[in-house]
Amino acid sequence: MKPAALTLVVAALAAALLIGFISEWAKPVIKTNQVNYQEQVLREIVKAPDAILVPFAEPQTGYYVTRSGSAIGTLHKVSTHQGYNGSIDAWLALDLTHSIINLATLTHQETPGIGDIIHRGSTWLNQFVDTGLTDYRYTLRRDGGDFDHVTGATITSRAYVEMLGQGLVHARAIKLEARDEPE
Amino acid sequence: MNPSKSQALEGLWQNNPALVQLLGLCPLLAVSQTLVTSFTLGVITLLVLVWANAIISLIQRWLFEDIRLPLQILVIATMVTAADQLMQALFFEMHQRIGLFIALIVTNCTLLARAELFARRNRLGLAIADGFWMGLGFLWVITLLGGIREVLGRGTLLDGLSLLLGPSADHWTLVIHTSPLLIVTLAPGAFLTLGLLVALKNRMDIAHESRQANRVSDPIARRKP
Repeated sequence: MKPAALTLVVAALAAALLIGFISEWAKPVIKTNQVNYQEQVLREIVKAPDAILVPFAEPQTGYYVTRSGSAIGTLHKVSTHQGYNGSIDAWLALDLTHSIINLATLTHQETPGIGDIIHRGSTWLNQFVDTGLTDYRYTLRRDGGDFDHVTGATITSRAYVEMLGQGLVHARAIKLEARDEPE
Repeated sequence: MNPSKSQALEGLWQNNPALVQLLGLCPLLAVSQTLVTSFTLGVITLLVLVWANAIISLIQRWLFEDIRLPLQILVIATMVTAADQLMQALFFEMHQRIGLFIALIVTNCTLLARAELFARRNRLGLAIADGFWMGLGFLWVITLLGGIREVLGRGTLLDGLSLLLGPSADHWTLVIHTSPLLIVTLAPGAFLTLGLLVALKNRMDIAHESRQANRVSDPIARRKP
């Protein structure tokens, strides 16, 4: 083989090995980070650090939230691919009347800075707190709905609002009371 | 001037990658919305640049003409991927915010330019110094740009510091004013702010030059010979 070709092959192998080693080390750490992050977010948005989370039966992703034995609401995972880039995953905390207690974006790849409006605790997200399907239409005001969009981030805003609407519709199908706690 | 001092001056000012070479505009403009994200991206770029320069300097005897560019890109891409993985492991929440742009550091032309123009022709020490000073030149410009855009566009400073330093830094965010200029946050604002910085730099250089010229045309200096 020509020295140039050989060099390229050797270099590619060396690079693959290096990345492989780093990734082997990092993978479990990243996994733990993700789990911790999600748990932290969930406890934060149900506003009850001592709550017990009981997973839904498949195929829905979510939890019944109970505190001192009584149901206080549910957590629903919602996601959409209608955003600017990739998928947006978020969690919705609903009370027993299916109104939104709080919500948080878990992962997204929207444009940093511009898509930041969907970050946890943002003013834009706060407009959804205490809303529900009975009194609100989950489309943007400019599309005939009840929620504001952010200039420059219309696609992200629209995707998010519609994701919430669909999430709420799906949530109605879930029985409100928690299952019996596992003995 | 000794070589390390001139390298520092080159990277930080005279041949600054962001203000003079105008390289790496994509990450420079896209991530500079806030001071903290700018600083983080700047630091990662600096680290990747130092490592990439070092490795390219070490393997320079194998950088044959036909495969030089692919090999350099391979080295840079490997360093960026490693940085991306490490950041996910160590600064997960920050990665959630600017992760998309970490991968784009590969396309930051500063890296390939320094590899091609400098690292592959110079010994290890000089290549590392070049990576460091060029990286620092990029870092200070992107941090300044982020700071200006955050203050004007959002009215805050140091927002999101907790992503780096933990929740205790949450209340360090300064609220400067409450009438944000939206355009500064958007892409045009990035170009405008960078353009003003470049203009300011050129202005300072011209002022400096004319001062030097005045000194030469000074009557006492002229009488000397």
